[in-house]
Amino acid sequence: MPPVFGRYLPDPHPYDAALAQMRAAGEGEAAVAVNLMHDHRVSPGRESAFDTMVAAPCSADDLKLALVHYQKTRVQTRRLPHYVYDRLNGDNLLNGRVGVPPLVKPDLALVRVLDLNGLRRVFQWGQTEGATKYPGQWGRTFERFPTTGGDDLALMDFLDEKMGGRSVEGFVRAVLDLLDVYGRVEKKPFQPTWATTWAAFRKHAAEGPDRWHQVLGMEKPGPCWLLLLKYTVKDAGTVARPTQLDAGWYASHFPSPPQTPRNEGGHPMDLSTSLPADDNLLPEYVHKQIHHPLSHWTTLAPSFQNYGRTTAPHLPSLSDQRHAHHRRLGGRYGAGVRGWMSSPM
Amino acid sequence: MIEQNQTWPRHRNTERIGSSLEEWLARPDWTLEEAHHWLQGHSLPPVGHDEDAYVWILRGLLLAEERGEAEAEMARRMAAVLGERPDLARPGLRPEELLFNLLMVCAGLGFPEHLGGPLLDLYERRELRGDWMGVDLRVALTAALIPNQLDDRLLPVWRSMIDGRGDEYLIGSVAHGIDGVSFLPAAEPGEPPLDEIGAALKALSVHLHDEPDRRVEFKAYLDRVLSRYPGRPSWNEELVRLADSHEWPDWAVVSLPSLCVRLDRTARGGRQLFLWEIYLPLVKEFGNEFGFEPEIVAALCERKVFQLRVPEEAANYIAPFTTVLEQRRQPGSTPLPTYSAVFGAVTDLMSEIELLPKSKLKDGSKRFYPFLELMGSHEGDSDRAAEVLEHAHRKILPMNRAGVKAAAKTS
Repeated sequence: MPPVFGRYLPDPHPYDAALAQMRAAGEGEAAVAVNLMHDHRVSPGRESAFDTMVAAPCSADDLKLALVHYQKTRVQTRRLPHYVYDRLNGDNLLNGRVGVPPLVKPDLALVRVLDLNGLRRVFQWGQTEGATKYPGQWGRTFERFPTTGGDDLALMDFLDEKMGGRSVEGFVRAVLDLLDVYGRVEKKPFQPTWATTWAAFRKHAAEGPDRWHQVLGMEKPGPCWLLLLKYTVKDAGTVARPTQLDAGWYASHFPSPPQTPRNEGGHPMDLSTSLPADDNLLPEYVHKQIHHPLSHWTTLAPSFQNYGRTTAPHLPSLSDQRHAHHRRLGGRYGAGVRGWMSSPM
Repeated sequence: MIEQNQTWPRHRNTERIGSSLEEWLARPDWTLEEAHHWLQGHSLPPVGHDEDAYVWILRGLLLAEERGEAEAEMARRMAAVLGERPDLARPGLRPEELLFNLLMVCAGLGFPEHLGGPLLDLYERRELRGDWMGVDLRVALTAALIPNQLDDRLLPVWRSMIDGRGDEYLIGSVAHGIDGVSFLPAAEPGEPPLDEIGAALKALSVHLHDEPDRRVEFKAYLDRVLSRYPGRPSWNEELVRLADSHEWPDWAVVSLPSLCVRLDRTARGGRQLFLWEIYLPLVKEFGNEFGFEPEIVAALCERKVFQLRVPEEAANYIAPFTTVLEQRRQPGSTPLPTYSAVFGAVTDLMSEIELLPKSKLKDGSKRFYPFLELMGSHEGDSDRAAEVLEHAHRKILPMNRAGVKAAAKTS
């Protein structure tokens, strides 16, 4: 029988039938099913926590529902998401244990890509409740945010105006402060934050926002505005290697093989497939939402572009992306990758 | 649900400590006496006495809601405690315990901007005496100094620990010395102090020279250094350059993580590589078969490693073969101590591959998986990949083995 979370016991596993259904359902569902089968990074403890949300007997829909519910309630909206706990996720923590000296140099630089188009709900809050509760804190920045919440074009017009104008820095300052107030002060966390190391990302910084999205495996339906934020492990707090349970119902995630050293984190799946097979795989980490002062953004300029608008380029199919990533993992870690996951779909 | 699971008692205590610490750290009117209480375990919930207070404090900080800010504030408060010269004033009911936990909290935090100065003052006063439960407080001071260095003033201390002489005041082992160098500040924040690391690893190689498992030991220390700077793709290139510039012995060179290192594309086109000498005949044979001439740009590490320029496509052919051979070279796979023994072990693997039945290749034997997959991915044409693979198996690898043996004889 197929593994579940990289383990072959119990056999048969209660999820076997559901995973088989998912694999037959479509490309995205199949990708998530394969990830659930092979993501050895999910500890037995986390599996137990997840399993309490899975109906028995379970269908593909039940498994999907549990995955969404676990991610939303145990990761995304939790003050202390499950991935920061040593007992639940100890094998994935980069610096989550007492280390003397610290396990990783505290001023090691990380970088994240903040997708402004994904902040719709936060902007709405800043325009309404936030404006009432914190009068004047963000000036008139969010006053004219479109009231048609789901309108992508109106959101893009708003961001085009703000990010295309001369007061970009003022807008970014307001956005970062709004995020901080919304997430931390008002305790509406949005976890996790996905990051990579600056040392690995640096060469992609000059390639522009379309590549930023691609190398970090961020699949978005249309153009969007992105910010690059650079900070340190010390700022980030507990840094962990992500799992499918942290990514939730997301098909562009790809587990890293057992051969990957823990400190290297995961490896985001590059959405472009026209790469040398041994091109550097970026490390991938998650950490809790943190306060980003403006300096996390300004520190990159003027040497590097620190914001930009993507063009939503045409991307290969998910299947092609996953096969290419699987080959790259094989190139980096050798034959054992196929032993771990014989096929990525 | 996890929150109701009674088998996680340490979580509850750790979370409780985290909350208490956060509350204390948020209070601007804190007192030194409160800090002393924390450092003697008086402010902890009933967690028993098996573990020192500093362990619980650091655990609690890990779970602080705003860990980064909590740790920074803790560092500021520990600096204030250090500023009161506790080595002379001996505060608290059990001054040795307080000093031990104080120094170990500093060791776990790593905030040179707050702690570097006060800790260096403590070191330079040389008044720290005593032990806590048998551990000399100077051991804790060594640990505290390692991640809290403002500059390279302690470099001679770390060097003396690495070469086995030891410092006249601080107490520490080779591992402390290596850690001390790893945490030295570099020109750019967050960057490794490359030159100092190169020199330290050279000194380490001298220290390990007579050890039978020196390659395994060397690799373990090297991994320790690299783990402080994860996600750094330039390490492999930098390590070869450090091995060259600091004249590491050959057995240490063949203990590096990679001796087939792709460098950036060149302005003149093509690709440069750092390549172990054993792979040179392989590249030459590929050149003969596929019509290119590898250009040797430089010889490094006493000609054990070469910097080559080859066409991009050739680099794609070479990498799959070296992936397999490189696995055999690693100290974990071949723990033999000498360069020649490692050289022989990899040559033997070439023979094994040569003798492998052709049918196994066709089946995509696991050993050949990287060959097939990598070639397939570059070529986009599985027939072409199979042709290259079969040709290499039939002709190039045997010739490479012969070439390697000839090269070994002449050297």
